[in-house]
Amino acid sequence: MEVLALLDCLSAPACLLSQAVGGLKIGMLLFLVASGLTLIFGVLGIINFAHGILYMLGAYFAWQAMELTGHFGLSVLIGAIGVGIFGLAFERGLIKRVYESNLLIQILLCYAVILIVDDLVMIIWGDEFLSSIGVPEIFQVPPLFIFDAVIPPFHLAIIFTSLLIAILLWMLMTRSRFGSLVRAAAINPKMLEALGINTNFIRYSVFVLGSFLAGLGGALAASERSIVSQMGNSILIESFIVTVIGGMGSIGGAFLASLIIGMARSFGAVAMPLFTDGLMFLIMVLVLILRPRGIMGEKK
Amino acid sequence: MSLLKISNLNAFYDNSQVLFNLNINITEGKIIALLGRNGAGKSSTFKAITGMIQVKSGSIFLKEKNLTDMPTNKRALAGIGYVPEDRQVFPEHSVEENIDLGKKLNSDIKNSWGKDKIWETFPVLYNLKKRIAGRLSGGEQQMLSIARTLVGNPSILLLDEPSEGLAPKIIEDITKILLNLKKTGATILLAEQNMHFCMNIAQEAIIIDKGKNVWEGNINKLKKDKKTRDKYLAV
Ligand SMILES: Nc1ncnc2c1ncn2[C@@H]1O[C@H](COP(=O)(O)OP(=O)(O)OP(=O)(O)O)[C@@H](O)[C@H]1O
Ligand SMILES: [Mg+2]
Repeated sequence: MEVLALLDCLSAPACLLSQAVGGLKIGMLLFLVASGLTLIFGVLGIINFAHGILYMLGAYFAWQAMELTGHFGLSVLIGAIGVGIFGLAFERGLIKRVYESNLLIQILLCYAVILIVDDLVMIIWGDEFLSSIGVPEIFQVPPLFIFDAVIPPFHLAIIFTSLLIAILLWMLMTRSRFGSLVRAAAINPKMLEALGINTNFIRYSVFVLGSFLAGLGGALAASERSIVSQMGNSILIESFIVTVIGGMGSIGGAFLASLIIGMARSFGAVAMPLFTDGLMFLIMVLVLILRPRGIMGEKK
Repeated sequence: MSLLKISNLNAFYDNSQVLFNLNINITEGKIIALLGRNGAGKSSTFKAITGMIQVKSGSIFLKEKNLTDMPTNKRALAGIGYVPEDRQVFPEHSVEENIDLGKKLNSDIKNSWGKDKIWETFPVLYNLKKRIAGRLSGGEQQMLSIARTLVGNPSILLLDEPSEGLAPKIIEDITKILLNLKKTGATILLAEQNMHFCMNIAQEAIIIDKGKNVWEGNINKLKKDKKTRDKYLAV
C-alpha cells in the first residue's frame, strides 16, 4: 500500500480536490442504481439480482436514442423511461409471480432474465463494445482549474443532476402521500389493504421507479464509458455492497454508503491501485462486524 | 334495513376451517356486540368480512354489493372499516400520517369525517399529531387505529376488542367516543370476550362459539339470561 502517495494527495489541494470530485461522481451514479435496489428490497422484499441489466439497458437505450435524435438530454431521458417501462413488464410479467416463493426461485428467475436479456442485447446491438454516447456540446469545453485541480464541468453536471434526483427522491419518500404509502407498504401491506389501498399498485410503482433510476444511472454513465452487455455486473456487486453498508431498505443509508464507496474507489486508486475492489469489500466487512444492520438499517 | 348480511359462511386458514355456516345480519344504525370466548372465531369473522382469510362457500353482502370475492382493498372502498385487535398502527409514521393513510381518495363514499372532525373527536391525538405512532401508549394507539378507520368514512365499523389490555380510565374515554358515534347513527360490530364493556354501548348481541353463531337478541335479555352466558361466555 502506498501510504505516502495517499498522504501526498491528501495534503495537495489539487489532488485532493480532483480525487474528491471523481469520488463524488462515482458515488452519485452508484447511488442512482443502489437506491432503486434498496427501495425494491424494502417494499417488495425481493432482492433484484437482475438490477444490473437495468443499468446496462439504460446505456443501450440511450445510445440508440442518441443515434436517432442526436440530442443528449433527450437520449438520457429516453434511456431512463425505456428502462422504467421494461421494469413494469418485468414486474407484472415475472417478478410478481415469485413474491411468495423462496429465495432460490427468485435468484433463478433473475438469473434467467439476465442471461436472456444479455443475449438479446448482443443479437440487437452486437457483441462488440459500443463507443460512449459522448458529452453534450455545451460541456465540450476546456476543464476548470480550481486550486490547480483539473475538473471537467461535465462531471460537476453529473454530480448536480444526481444530487437533484436524490433530493427529489427524498422529498417523494418523506413529503408525499405516495412516499407515505410506500413506507407503510414496506411495514404492513395487509393493514394498508384493509384501509382501501391497492398495494399491488404500490409494488409495481416502486419497481418502475427503481428501474427508472437504474436506467438513468446507466444512461448517464454511457456518456463517458463504452457500452457492453456485461457492464451491469460490477455495478450490481457495488450496489449490493452499498445496500449492505447503508442498511437494507434505507435510502438515506444508500446515499451515505454510495459516497463512502465512491470516495474509497477514488482515493483507493491513489493509495492502493491494485486493491480498489478489495477495499470496498473490506469496508463492507468492517461495517458488518461493527454494525451488522448497516449504517442506517432498522433493528430487526 | 339490512346493511351487512353474511350467509352460510365457511371460512378457512389454509386447510383448517374456522367458521361454520355462519349467519349474521346487521341492521343499519345499530351497534351490535359480537361476543364469544377466547378462540370462538370473532377475529376470524372480521378477517372473513375484510377478505383476509379464505372463504370457500357462503356470501357476504354490504347492502346490495356482493363482497364475497372482492380483494381486501375494494371491500374497504365499498365501506368496510376494520380496526384490528392488535391496532396495527404504522409505528414509524406520525399520528397525522397514520390518519392520512386512512383517507380514501378514490372512492365515492360520502365524506362525513374530515380531519377537523377527527381532531375534535380525539383531542388527545391532536395534541400528539407529530409524534411517531410507535411511541404512543396502548390506549392512544387504539384511538389512532379507530380514527384512522373513521377518516375513511366506513358504512360499518368492525371493532375488534378495543378495550383489550387498557386501563379503566382509557376504556372510559373510548366508551365515550363510541357513545358519540352511536348518536351520529353509526353502524358498529363490536367484538368482545365478555359483555361488560359492551353493556352501555350495544343494543343487541350475537354470540359465536366454535365458529358458529349460537345466540342472538337484545343485550338486556342476555344480561338476565345467566344460563346462556355461563354456557358461552364464562371463562
Ligand atoms: N393464523 C391462524 N392459522 C390457523 N388457525 C388460526 C389462526 N388464527 C386463529 N386461528 C384459529 O381460529 C380459531 C378462532 O380464532 P379467532 O382469533 O377468530 O378467535 P377470537 O374469538 O377472536 O378469540 P380472542 O378472543 O382470543 O381474540 C381459533 O381456534 C384459532 O386457534
Ligand atoms: Mg380475536
